[in-house]
Amino acid sequence: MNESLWLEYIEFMSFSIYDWVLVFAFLFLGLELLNEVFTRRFSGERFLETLSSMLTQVPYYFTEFVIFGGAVYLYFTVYEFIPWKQPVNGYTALLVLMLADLTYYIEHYAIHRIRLFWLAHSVHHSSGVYNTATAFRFSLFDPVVSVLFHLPLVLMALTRS
Amino acid sequence: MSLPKRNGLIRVVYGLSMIGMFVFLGNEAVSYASEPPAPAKAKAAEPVARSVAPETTAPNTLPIKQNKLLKVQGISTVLNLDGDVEAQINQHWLAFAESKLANSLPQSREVYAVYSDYDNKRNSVSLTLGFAKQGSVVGTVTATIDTGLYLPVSGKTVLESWQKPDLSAQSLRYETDYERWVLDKNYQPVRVTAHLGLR
Repeated sequence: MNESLWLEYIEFMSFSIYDWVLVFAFLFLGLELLNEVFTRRFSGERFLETLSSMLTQVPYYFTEFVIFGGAVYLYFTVYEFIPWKQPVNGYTALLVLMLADLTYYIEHYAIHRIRLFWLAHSVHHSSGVYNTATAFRFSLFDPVVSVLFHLPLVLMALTRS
Repeated sequence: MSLPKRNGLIRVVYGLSMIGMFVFLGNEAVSYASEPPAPAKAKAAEPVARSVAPETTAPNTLPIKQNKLLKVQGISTVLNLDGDVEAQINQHWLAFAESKLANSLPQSREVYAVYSDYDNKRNSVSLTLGFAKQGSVVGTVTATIDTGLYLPVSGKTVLESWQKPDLSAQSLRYETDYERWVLDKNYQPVRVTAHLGLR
């Protein structure tokens, strides 16, 4: 595959595959709830807590849509001012993977350590019921923090040759 | 503090579902990567090595209507889609560059690569490289680009375009597809646009 096809492939993997993971998440959550029923652990309180975790996705997706939309604009604007540009190739793609992973690590460290960011992220850890739904429990402000921490990656200034 | 109880059967189903998810996602990823552009097979999906500068405008995705028959005069070969298609195409371009025909590049500096006569049984396709017909030249053949709807894909060859996932929904005709190459004064490709025949 050439560069263009690789980019399309990665795009497909990022969106389509992730969508399927969400579908499977519903299956796993269903099995977890079924397990609670069979082991007599299920209660209205636990179910409502699970439901509230799931429902955080509604405002989260809305802000994600707005914030990430603005972020794309911000990133492209910053990109225009960067005097250097790098081609997309195997090496830079590998570098992106590693730096994206490092960024996520730093971001996660910071949102647990810095109180202002913890304010946004604490929702993710605020439930006493742990199941698949908890993994999707986010606050409105999580995407804002994510946008800020990923901004330095724009400095790579990757361009399609 | 003890771990919560687990139902054995649900635990097994959960584990199998987890494995199933990875198998499914892996299959999705692999099948996407190796999906052949019909009617060609996987090897035919290899991109063409000739590189061109990217288009300055966004790729045109609206079909255009070809009202007139376009006759392309050039040299033809049959590509075996089970073989190394890229090498065969490059070989044919080389033959074209070395032919007498290459000396009569029109002012428009446009070269057409016409893919026609798809043969599903033999898994082959004819490739004609040439110019819009101006007169009869000995030793050349004529490929006809039919009238009808064509989907232009800027910056891509026909083989690359077949691989575009967003084209899978389009009803491609697979009768005649062509590329229009524009060369510079040194006969180097400046840009290419693939045109895929639509039903």
